[in-house]
Amino acid sequence: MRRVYRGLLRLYPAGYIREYGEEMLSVFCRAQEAARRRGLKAQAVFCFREISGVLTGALHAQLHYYDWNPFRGFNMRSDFRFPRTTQVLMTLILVAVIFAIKQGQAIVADANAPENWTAVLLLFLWVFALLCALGSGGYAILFALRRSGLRRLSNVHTWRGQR
Amino acid sequence: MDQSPLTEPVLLVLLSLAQQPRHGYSIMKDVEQMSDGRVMLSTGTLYGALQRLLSRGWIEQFEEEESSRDRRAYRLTPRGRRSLQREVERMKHLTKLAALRVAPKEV
Repeated sequence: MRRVYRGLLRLYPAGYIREYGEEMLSVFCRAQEAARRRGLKAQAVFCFREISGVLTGALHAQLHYYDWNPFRGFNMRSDFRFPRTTQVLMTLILVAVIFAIKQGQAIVADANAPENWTAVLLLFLWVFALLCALGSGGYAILFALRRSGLRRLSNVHTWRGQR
Repeated sequence: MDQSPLTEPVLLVLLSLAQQPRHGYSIMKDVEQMSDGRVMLSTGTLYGALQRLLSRGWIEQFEEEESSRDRRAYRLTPRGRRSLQREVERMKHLTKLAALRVAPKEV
């Protein structure tokens, strides 16, 4: 149960986990010990309450962290920073878009021959495929980083004075 | 300042801290005791409430050196105490109103 709870805590925003994660786990363990002494029924009620509590708490914390409003969309906080991989990908996408615009301008300026429209279509498909490939690559990098826990490691504080 | 009525868990957390500073687990147990077992906070609900109260400046954290298991504790700020008193006054007014409007019909 403790492992499940620790896993569910990952649903909270990273800043929230840094601030309260260990403390929440400690309180959970003490409450679990108390529930265990009360019997099986109390334990089942405790598990249900904790899982539902952590799920709703994580949802609320995520919405609060990104200041989400259905009528205004997302309003990211000033402390939010894109990871470097995202910045690199965004730059690559920008370069691809500029290249596509330049190519398109060259083709339009050339002539209105029917074969040029085929070239425009091919160029569009090529740029679309490039963007898809870049997006997939970026997602794969972020997914791999998340799985390997490198981002979490970068957030580890070695002593309390660093907080 | 937020003048909206407090939810029951938040009110009970404030009442718990009004008596004395407490750690997370101690707040949880006190809330259960105060409500005769009717309100049992999960850790997710408790820390959600604590985080909201901290962001409003109604409570504050402090570190205890001597305690080994729970170093971080929470206490009510003067602003939090004023908000709690205002909420209690609002509830007293509601109770008085309810007694005037509902009680005669029950007789």
